[in-house]
Amino acid sequence: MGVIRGEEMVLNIGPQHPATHGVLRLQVKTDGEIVSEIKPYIGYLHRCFEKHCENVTYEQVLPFTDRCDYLASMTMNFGYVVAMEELMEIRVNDRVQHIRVVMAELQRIASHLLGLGAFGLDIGAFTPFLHMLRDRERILDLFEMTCGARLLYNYMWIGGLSHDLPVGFVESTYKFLDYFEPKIDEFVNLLVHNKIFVERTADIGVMPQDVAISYGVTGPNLRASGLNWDLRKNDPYSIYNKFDFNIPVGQGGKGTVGDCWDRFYVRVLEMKESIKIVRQALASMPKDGDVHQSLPKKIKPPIGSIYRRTESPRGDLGYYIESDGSNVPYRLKMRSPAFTALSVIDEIAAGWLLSDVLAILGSLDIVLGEIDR
Amino acid sequence: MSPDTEKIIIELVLKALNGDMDSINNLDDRVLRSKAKAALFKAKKDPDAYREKYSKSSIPNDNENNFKNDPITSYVLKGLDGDMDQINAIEDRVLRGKVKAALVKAKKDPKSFKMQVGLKEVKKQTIELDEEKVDIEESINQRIKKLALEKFPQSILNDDVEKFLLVDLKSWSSLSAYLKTEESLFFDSLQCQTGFDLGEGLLEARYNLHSMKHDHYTEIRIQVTKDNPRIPSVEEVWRIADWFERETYDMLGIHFDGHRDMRRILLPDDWEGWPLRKDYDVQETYHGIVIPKMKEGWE
Repeated sequence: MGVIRGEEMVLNIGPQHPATHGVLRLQVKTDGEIVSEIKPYIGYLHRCFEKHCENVTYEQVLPFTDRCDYLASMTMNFGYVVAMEELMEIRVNDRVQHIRVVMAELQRIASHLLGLGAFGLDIGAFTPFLHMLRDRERILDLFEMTCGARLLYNYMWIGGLSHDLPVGFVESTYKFLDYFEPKIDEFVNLLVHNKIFVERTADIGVMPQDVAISYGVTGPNLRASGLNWDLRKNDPYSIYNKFDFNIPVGQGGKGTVGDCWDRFYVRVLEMKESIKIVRQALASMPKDGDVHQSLPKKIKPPIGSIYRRTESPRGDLGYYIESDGSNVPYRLKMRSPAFTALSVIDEIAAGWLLSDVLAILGSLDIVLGEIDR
Repeated sequence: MSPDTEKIIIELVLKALNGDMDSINNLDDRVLRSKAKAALFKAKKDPDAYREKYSKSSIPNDNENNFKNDPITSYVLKGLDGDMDQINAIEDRVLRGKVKAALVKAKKDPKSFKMQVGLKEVKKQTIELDEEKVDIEESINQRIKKLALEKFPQSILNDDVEKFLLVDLKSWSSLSAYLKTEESLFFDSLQCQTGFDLGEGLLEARYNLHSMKHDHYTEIRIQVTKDNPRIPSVEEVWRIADWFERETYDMLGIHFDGHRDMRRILLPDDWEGWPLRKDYDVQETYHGIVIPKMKEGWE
């Protein structure tokens, strides 16, 4: 008896669909419930960020980076200013570095909260989503307190920050951390060990390590596949080498290493590590230091190019900046981590049930703004 | 390199020779770290000579110690040598003002100013030259070039490979597979692939490679003319090149030969022109929709 194959049907998921996390179209070839091929069509949010950058000055690029990954704008700013400061050889003072790390790690928590909540939502768990958004709000409140914006901050500038920390920020952050730390265990009970959730995610969409590397998948998705690779440790930028934290790696706790459940759980553990970093950074933050101290009067980097990567919540965020000595970038390329993560979907999700494809897509935690740029 | 960093590097290298690698690895500053590592590499060839050279006299010499006590003098000297950037980069505004005032005075008669300070310029310069040489000596690019030229003659075109390797178009497909599989190089990860319009009818594709195993980086550049922008695809070597190359094709019109799915990725299939080329003109309408022109500059 051979395998009986039915007629294949082409199904479009999206562009407007809650499970696509934005405006993404997946053209799916199905044989009954089984998916045999997935072709992502992207570009619905394309604004040609890179073309815009060639027409504005280096400072004016910053708001554009905000709008690429709108769920983790702080880290998008961070990557750009790190690259620019390395190109221009600017050294910022310790207070600025500490504030940046605090902001980036809070942003990582906020981004993971939304990513995890939406993942739960994708496979039918509605309650955790509300819990996570509730706590994310408190982080956004902290950001609002700092720079007035809740989503698109334009907070980190080349050579400094737009504002110093407001009065009471440190106390509020400590208060939030004390409140939030026990909540993580609540999530763990609610979702991570939830039987229904485990059935939907364990052993589903396994991404082997070599596939992940070949597809350029980075960040939590790569670490879930069992590779200990984090730019904060492996190629430290800013002051990350001063802090003591661990890199959570996928262990295959409920199934195989690199399955959806691992990708979920690595993010949960990463939030704990981020809390550790924020606490250390707040404790060691110097009291004095002008955040505008090293702001250059005019930004004209020397002729040359730089490729610098930083660890955003979604993986290696790289900026390739080519300068021709003027105040406008000659060419600026953003290497987007979600772009590479989405490209792997056909490889790991083909052969699964249609409902699993959505679980796999959710577990990759993509943001379309950053993919389309 | 300023005398301060020079001193730090020598101290670090001396420490590392005694087995304390941590102090180098824990450096914040990437540039300093790599310089220190390069200096260490050279020192390791003949550790005893290095120790003898530096540990006794504990470089830098007296002069520089004096400068530390009097930063204004040292900055003025740099300014006289034409290095105004450092002065402009001084964080302390008061100090910067003082330095600039002193510089104006000194410029009236630079020679006598230098005489007063009694600067031993010659010695400093030789040390700097040494350090720079080391940087180039032990770069991964040099090693790749040596290995690649053995296997594929004429494959690397540039002489100065400090920053990147300029690869010949014809050997790229075989070289890319070699870079990935060769044990000592093992570039298993294509970090970034992008295209450039260099002007003068030239396009360039750049590949940033990284090895997860050995943790080293390199950058490959390939140049093609605008008349015939075709580069062999590496999509089967690194799978992510599939989408990266499609994006480069979409934005700059570089065609990757052998790519199995060479379509536009971000723009619609019937879009005209290549947006990131410098001579790009936006089409006026798209399916009846008027496209607003991009403003020249910024108000």
